[in-house]
Amino acid sequence: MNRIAQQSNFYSKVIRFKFIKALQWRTEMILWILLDIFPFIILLFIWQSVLSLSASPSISLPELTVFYYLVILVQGFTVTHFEEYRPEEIRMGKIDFFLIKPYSFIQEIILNDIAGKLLYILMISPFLALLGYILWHLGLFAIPALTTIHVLVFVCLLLLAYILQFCLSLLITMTAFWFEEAQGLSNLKILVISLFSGTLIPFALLPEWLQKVTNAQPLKFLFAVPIRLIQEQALPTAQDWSMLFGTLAFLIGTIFLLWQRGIQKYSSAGG
Amino acid sequence: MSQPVITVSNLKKHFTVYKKQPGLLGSIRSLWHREYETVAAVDDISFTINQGEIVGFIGQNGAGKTTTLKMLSGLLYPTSGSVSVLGYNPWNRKSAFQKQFSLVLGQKNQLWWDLPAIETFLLNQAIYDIPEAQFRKTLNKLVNLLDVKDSIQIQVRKLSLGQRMKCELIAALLHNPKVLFLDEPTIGLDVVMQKTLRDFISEYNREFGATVILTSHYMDDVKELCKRVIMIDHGKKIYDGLLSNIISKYARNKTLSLVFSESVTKKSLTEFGTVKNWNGSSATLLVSRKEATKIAARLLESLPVQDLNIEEAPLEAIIREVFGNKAKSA
Amino acid sequence: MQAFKKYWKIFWRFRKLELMRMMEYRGDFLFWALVSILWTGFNFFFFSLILRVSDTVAGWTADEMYLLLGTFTLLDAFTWTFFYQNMQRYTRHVFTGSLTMLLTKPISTIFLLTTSSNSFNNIFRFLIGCAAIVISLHRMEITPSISSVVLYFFALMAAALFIYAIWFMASTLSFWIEKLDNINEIIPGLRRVMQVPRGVFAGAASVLFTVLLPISLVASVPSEILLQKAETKWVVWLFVSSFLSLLLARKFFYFAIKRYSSVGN
Repeated sequence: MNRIAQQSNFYSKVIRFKFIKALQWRTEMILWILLDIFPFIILLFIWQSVLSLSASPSISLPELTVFYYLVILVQGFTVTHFEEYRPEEIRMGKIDFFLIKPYSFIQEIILNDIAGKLLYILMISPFLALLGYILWHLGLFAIPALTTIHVLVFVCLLLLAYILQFCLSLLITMTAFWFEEAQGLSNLKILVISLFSGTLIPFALLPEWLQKVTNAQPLKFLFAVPIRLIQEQALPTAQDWSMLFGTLAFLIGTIFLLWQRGIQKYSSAGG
Repeated sequence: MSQPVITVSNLKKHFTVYKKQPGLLGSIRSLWHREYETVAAVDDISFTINQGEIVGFIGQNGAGKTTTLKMLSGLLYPTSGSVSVLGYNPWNRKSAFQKQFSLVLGQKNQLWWDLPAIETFLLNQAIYDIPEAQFRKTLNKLVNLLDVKDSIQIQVRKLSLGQRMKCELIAALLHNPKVLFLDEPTIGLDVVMQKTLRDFISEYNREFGATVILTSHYMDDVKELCKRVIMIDHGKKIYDGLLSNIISKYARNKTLSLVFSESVTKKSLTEFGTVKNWNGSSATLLVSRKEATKIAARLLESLPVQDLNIEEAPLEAIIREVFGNKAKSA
Repeated sequence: MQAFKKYWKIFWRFRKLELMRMMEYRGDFLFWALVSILWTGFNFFFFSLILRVSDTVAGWTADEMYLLLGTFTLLDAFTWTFFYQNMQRYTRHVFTGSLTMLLTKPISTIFLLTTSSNSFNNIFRFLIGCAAIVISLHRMEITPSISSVVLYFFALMAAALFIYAIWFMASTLSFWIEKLDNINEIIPGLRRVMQVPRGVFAGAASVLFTVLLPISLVASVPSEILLQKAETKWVVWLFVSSFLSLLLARKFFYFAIKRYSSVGN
């Protein structure tokens, strides 16, 4: 029991420290928030001009608005980016510090990311609330009727989507032990996620082949599943859940394997 | 030979810095409310430097050495006061002026990291409009002096720190600057490499009659290169003159090294001065500067002295003492 | 004239240095070239999805849209080739204080800052952009006249200079704002505005993006020139605003330099 108290004390201290560090970058974070929200507003303009000239539109503007709003929300709450700079730390040999401390590199990544994410959520929430309010005023925001179950499952899915995103970023980071272009993989990750997780346009508007591809693989949990849960009140099936947890288990296992192997390669390569 | 090349009068530079309170609360509070403080990095400094001089700037970290150099290079606008270098006002940043001086910052580099140094040299040739013949001649000379013939063809990132610094120097000197500002040029280098660079700087100074201002943490650099030093502390000039005079001005003690023909007790030495080292057959004593000779004579009389040496206190110690006292009285 | 020759020479020396650097990291180049091609394809795909819902975007047909996207791809490739790395370095120089080294050189600092670097990763996108333009022109059976091709080319240059000027101004903000590594994402963040017809924006947004900060003209106006539906006033405004923003960027830089106090001591 004492050990647990000690551990949680340690974790809260580290997170607090990381939080202070992240606060220094608040201007940068606000800029990221604006850069996340801005394209969304432009997309609304584009769709407005598309739908206004279409004789029998297959979707309404409010539906589209809620869809893209949910995309930003899910993105803000779950996306991780650390694979853009962590691989460099491995390649440049900067993880030495963590190999000699009772605080592993993976712990560092996790705690750092959690603190950063908390701050980001704290900062983006007022923006999202304001945006939602304005859209609602403009009559563009059709809030669907949701039960408590839906909300709870949505929150759960957000958390799991974050873990999934985190694992993918960590997986890419781990490849830095072997692969020079690990940072560039980040770009491919974003590309693949954008294409196959249902962020582009509402699921129903995707071509049939892309609907099938999206449905058949776990990236759909990053966007399509939580968004459809809200917009279509579609709860994930038992099969979905097992696919999600199976994927997570597989990813975590792979990461640990890569870490073990990588660290061996790293320390034997020294000089 | 001795018209002033650099004239600085009543130079001041004030910075506004922001103070962050510690802790999470401090971070959050600083979102709304920030406290600022004015720091006088350079506070009313005047001096002139003549052509061909090598002058050392001495001072602790943050004393204002680099800030002064930056104002002399036209990088910082002074808060007040005036500067003239080679007859130019540096912060007009005229090309004609820029082609006649060079600034070397030991901790920053201008070489292209991924390419051999020679590429940066060629680039500088174009930037400084150096005629081909002169470029070849200067480059050859510098490369030979510093013995880096092979290194300049190798990617900079693969060079050792010492080789890299040599190449940095070459890049800075290709246009034969008449005035050279060196900020910590030997930082991080080993003793041998420091010596090589020092010899080179002194050689360059002699050959081209260049005026050099040098700042360094290593007293050896200053001792070997500079006859004249300017000491700066908290933005103020506290000494300007010959290096050798620092000793007579600030040193209070001399060191007596003694070797005895037979064992001597420690107690018998204490009446002459402060005993720094003692092991029976030899000892070192710290005695007042003025009375050193008298004490030495008395020692020779009363103790079995085989060998005796009177030494000045090392420069480092004097300087440490000067700045230490200042810090205490401030 | 003498000065121009010097700058011309140095400009090409920089290109040579960058080419040597690229050869040094061939694998890197190929990898990023592939990534850039994939993103370009992705962008075309995204608009094809929108065009499935309706045949037109703000009155532009699918073929016209692809021509617009082709034009945007050319501009975007140019932007990433010449601006991104330089601006990235520029802000890093400001943050680390190493701008000092550049200021002591007898050459225009703006020139050094904005031409010293470039990337070759995007060269294949020029081909994709050209292909998209040629194919869509062919499908619409439009043969542009020589004069409109020439005007198109100049309008593209004006557009590129405009992007350069506003990007340079955005980067210059780094003198005031520390801890802002993503300052160079601001202009790329506006790219969605550049790649759609200017008619998409109505009301206040139209005033903002076509008059005050005319980024929605950069690809639209050149495309309209090729499609022979350009309006003179917008063509003129593109050229004028590009010229004005260059002047402003220059003024802003010198203002910033004036109150520049190098970091550290």
